[in-house]
Amino acid sequence: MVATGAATLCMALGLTACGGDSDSGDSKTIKLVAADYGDKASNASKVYWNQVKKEFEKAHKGYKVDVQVINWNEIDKSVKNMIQAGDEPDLLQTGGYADKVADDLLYKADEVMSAKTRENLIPTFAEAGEVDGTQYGIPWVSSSRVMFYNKDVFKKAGVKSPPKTWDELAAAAKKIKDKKAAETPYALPLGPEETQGETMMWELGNGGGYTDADGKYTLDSAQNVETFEWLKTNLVKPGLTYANPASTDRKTAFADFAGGKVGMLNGHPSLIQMAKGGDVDYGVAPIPGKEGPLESTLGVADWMMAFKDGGAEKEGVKKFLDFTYSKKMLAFDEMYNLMPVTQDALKTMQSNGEHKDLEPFFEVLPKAKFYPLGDTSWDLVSAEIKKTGGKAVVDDPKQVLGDLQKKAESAAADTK
Amino acid sequence: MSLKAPPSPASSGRGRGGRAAGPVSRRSGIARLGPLPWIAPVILLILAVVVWPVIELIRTSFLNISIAGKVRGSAGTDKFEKLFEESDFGAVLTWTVIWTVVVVTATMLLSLALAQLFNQKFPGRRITRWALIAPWAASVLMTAIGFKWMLNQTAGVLNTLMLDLGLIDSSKDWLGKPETAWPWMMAVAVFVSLPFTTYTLLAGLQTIPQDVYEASRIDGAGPWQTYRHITLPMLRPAFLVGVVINLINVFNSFPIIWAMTQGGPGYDTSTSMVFMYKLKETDIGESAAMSVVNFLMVVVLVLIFLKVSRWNEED
Amino acid sequence: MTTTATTAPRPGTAADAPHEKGSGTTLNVFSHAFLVLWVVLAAGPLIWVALTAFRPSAEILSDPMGWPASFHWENFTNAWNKANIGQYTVNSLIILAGSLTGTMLLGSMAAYVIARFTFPGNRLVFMLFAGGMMFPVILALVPLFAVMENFGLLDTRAGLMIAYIAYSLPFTTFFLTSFFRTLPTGVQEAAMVDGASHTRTFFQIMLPMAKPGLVSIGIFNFLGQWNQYLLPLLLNNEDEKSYVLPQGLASLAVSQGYRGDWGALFAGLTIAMLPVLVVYAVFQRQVQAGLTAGALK
Repeated sequence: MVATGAATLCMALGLTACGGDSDSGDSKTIKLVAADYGDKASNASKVYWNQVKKEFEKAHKGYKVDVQVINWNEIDKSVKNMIQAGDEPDLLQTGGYADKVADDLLYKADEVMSAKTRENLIPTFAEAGEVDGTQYGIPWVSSSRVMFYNKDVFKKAGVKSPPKTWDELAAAAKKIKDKKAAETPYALPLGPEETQGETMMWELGNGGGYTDADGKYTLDSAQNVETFEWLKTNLVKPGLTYANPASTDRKTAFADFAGGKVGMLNGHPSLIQMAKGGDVDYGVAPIPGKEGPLESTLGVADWMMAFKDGGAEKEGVKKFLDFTYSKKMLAFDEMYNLMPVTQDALKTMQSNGEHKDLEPFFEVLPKAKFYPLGDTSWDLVSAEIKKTGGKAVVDDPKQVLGDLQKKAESAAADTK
Repeated sequence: MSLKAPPSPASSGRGRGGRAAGPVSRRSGIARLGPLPWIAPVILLILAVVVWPVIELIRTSFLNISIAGKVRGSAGTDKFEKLFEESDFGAVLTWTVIWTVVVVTATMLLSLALAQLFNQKFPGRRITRWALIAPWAASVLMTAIGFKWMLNQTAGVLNTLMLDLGLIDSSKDWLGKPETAWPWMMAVAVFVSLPFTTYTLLAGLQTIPQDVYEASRIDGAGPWQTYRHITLPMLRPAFLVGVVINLINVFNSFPIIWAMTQGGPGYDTSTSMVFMYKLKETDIGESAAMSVVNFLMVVVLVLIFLKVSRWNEED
Repeated sequence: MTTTATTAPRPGTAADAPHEKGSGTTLNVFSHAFLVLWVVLAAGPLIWVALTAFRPSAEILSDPMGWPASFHWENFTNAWNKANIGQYTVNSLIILAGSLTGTMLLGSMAAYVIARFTFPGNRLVFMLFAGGMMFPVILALVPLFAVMENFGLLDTRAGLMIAYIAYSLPFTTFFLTSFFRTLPTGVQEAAMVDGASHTRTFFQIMLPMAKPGLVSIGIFNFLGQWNQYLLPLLLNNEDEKSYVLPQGLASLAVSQGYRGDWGALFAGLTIAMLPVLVVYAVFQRQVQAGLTAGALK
C-alpha cells in the first residue's frame, strides 16, 4: 500500500528518482549489515569489514560490498526498520537469527555456503544454528563465560582463593567491602545490554535456565525464583554490588573492572584486553554455582545470515561468505580475542601460543550451554528479558519472572 | 528536486491585470487558483512527510507484525487490548501526567520571574540575556548526555563536588533509581524549555504600554496588585502560547529521558513516549497502538486546555 | 534548578520602578542573586565544556573540574581532522543552507496566502499546520523511513533537506501566519491596484515588511535544524562521511570506550555550539522584535 500511494505522489511531484519498493542497486552489490564489537574508534568493527571489503573486491572483480556497521543497542531496531520498509540487506551479522526464519526470510545455509566451508565449522555451533533440523544460522563468533577477579583486590581483602560456591562468593564480597578493597565487590550488570546473559549464568548455578528438556519455557521455575531471591538478599541488599543493578549495563561493569574498581564479575574474552589495558592483575576461575562451580557455563554465539530478498545474486553472496570464512575469520577472532567457530582457526589459535589467556575459555567451550537459539520465539523473549529482567532483584522475583513467563508462553504460541 | 524553487511567475501572474482585488475578495474563474501554487508545495510536503506517516501509523496499529518486522495480517483491536493490559501501563500514564504537569508548571513560573527580571535595564543585561539562550546552544540530546555525565556515579562532576562539600558521604548513582532520576530529568526538561518560554513572555511584557503602569501607580496600587491585575492579564496571550507549546513539547519529549535512563530500570522512568519506543523492540503493532494513543492524548490535552482558557485565535 | 523558585523575587518588586525601563538601580538583592545563579547554572556548563576542550584527554578523565593548565589547541585540530568534525560541520552547513532556505521560503509563501486571502479551506489548512506541530518526529520513525525509501531518498542530501523542511513547516507557517496578519494592508492594496502581480507584491513589499518576524523564526529554525538529531539518525545512517554534526558527535561519544579521546569530543561539542551562540549574539534584537509582533496576536 505504501508503494502504490508513493507512486501516485511520485508522479504528482514529478520526481524521477522513484525506485521500486525494494532493491535499488544492482545484483552485484552485496549489502552487509554487521554489529560493532569494538569499544573504541581504533578497534571498531568497521575497520575490519572495510579491510575484508577491499580484499574481496580485489579478488573478485565485478562485485561490490556495501558495509554498514551498527552498535549493539541499535542494530536490531535498525534491521527491523529495513525489513519493514522492504529494504533487507543481503547479509546480516548479529545476535539472533531464528525470528527471521519464522518469517521465511533467510536462505538455508547450504544454499549460500560451499560444502568445504560448511565442513570447517565447529559442529556444536553449526548445530546451534538449526531450526527444526535445517541450518539457517551460520555461526560467526563464540564466547564462553568465566569469572574474572582482581588479584590485588583479593590480596588486600584477604581472600585467599576465588570462590567456588555462592556462599563463598558472598563471603568474599563481604570481606572486600569490609576492608574497602574495591568500590564494587561484585559487579552485577542486569541493565538492558545483556540481561539475558547474566541471568542465565546465575540461573545455571542453581540447576535452572530458560527452557526444560522439551524446549518449553521455564522462566519462573522454582529454582530461578530462588536464584533471584538469593541475589537480592545476599548481594544487592547488603550493598555488595551496584546500588541499581537493573540499570547498570555490562559495559559499565567491564569498564569498572578495567579501572580496578571491581573485585569480581562474570566476563568474556574481550575483558582480557580491557583488563590488560587498565593494568589490572586479573585472574579467571569457573563461575560459582550454588553447590559448586558450574559444569556447563554459558556459551554465546553470534550469527551470520543471508536474506533471500536482499537484492544481490546468490552466487555473489556465496563467494563472499566462502571468502570471509576461509581467509578472514582468524583476523576477527584475534582482533577481539573472541573464540573461533571454524576448526582451522581454532587449531591455529590453540597452537600458535599467542592465546594462552584464552585457554580457560577453550576448556569450558565443549560443554557450554546456549540460549534456546533455534526457537523462533527466543528473540522476542530475549528482548523482553532485557527490558524488565533486571527488576527481579528490585521487586518480587516471583512476580517479575512470572510476567516474563506469561510473555514467553504467548510468544511461543504465536510463532507455532 | 524543484521543491525549493518558488512557483513559476507565470502561474501567479493569474492575479495580474488590475482586478479590483483587496485582501478579502473572492475571485472568479481561473483566478480562484490564485493562492494554490503558493501553498501547494507546502501542503504536499506536509501531507507526504508528516501526515502520511500518521496514517501509516494508525494502519500499523491494527496489524500483527512479527518481531523480525514482517507483516503477518490484521490484528483488529488486539494490539490496543494488549497495550491496555500491560502491567506497567497505568504507572507509565500516571508518570507521564506528573512529568508534564510538573515541568510545564515549573517552566512557566520560572519564565515569568525571568522575563520580569530581564525586562529591566541593568548593567550587564546584554550578557545575562545572552546567557538565556545558553541552554539552547547544544541540542537537547547533547544537554541530556552532558547532565548524564555530570551525574555519573564513578566519574561525574556532581558527585565529586558534593563529596568535597561534604553534602553526601559516598558517590550516588543518581539516575539508577526512579526516585532520584525523575527530579533530575525534570530539571533538565525545565532547563531546556526556559529559553523559548522566557522569550515569549518577555516579548509579551514589552507590548504592555507604559501608561498603564503609570495609571496604576497614580491610583496607588502596590506592586503585587499591579502585577496581578494589570501585568498578568495583559500577558495572557503570551502566557497561553507558552503553555500550549510547552504542553506539546514536554508531553512529546523523548531525547532527555532516553539519553539519561532509557526509561529504566524496567519501565520505572518511562513516559508514554519512551514506553512506545521500548515496545518497538518486541511488538511493532503494539508500539503503533501506543503512538496512536499518545497522539490522541496530545490533541485532547491541547483542546481541553484551549477550551478551558477560552482562547480565541482571532482575538 | 526547581529549588530556586523559592528564592525568586516577587515579580512585583522588579516592576516597581517608576519608569519601567529606567535606571539600573531597581534590582534588589534577591533579583541580583537570582540572576547570578541563573547565569552560573545556564552558562556554566557551556563554559565548562569550552574550557575542558583545551585540556588533554588524560587530565579530563582524572580531574574533571580542573582548569586548563595550558591551551591545547590540538584537541580542536584533532577533532576537526581525525574525528572528522570538520567534514560533519561542512555537511551540516550544506544541509542547513538548503533546508533553512526552503523552510523560510515555503513557510512565508504559505503564511502570506493564508493570512491575506480567504479561500475555501483556509481554516482547514491552518488547522493542518497546527496539528502538524503536535506530531513529533519520534512517532513517525518507521513510516517515514518507508516513505523515504520508496522515493529513493534515503541517505541523500535532498531527502534529508526535505524531511527537515517538512517538519519545520508547521511551526514556521503557524507563527508567520499570525505575523503576517499584523502587517498593515495599505501598502499591499496600493500595489495591487497599481497592477503588481502576486509575486512582485510578495517579494518586494511583504517580505521586507516582515523582516523582524522572518529573522526571529529563521533563528528558531536554524537552532532547531542545526541540532536536529533524530531525522539524520533515521534517514542518513549509511555513509559515515555524510553524517551531520549531531550524528558525528553522538557516534564519537558512543565510541568512547574506557580510554577515548575526550579532548577531541569536548572540542567537537564546542565547535558545534559556536554557530548557535554567534548567530544568536548577532541577531539578538531582531529575535525580540519578531516575537513581540508575531506570536502574540
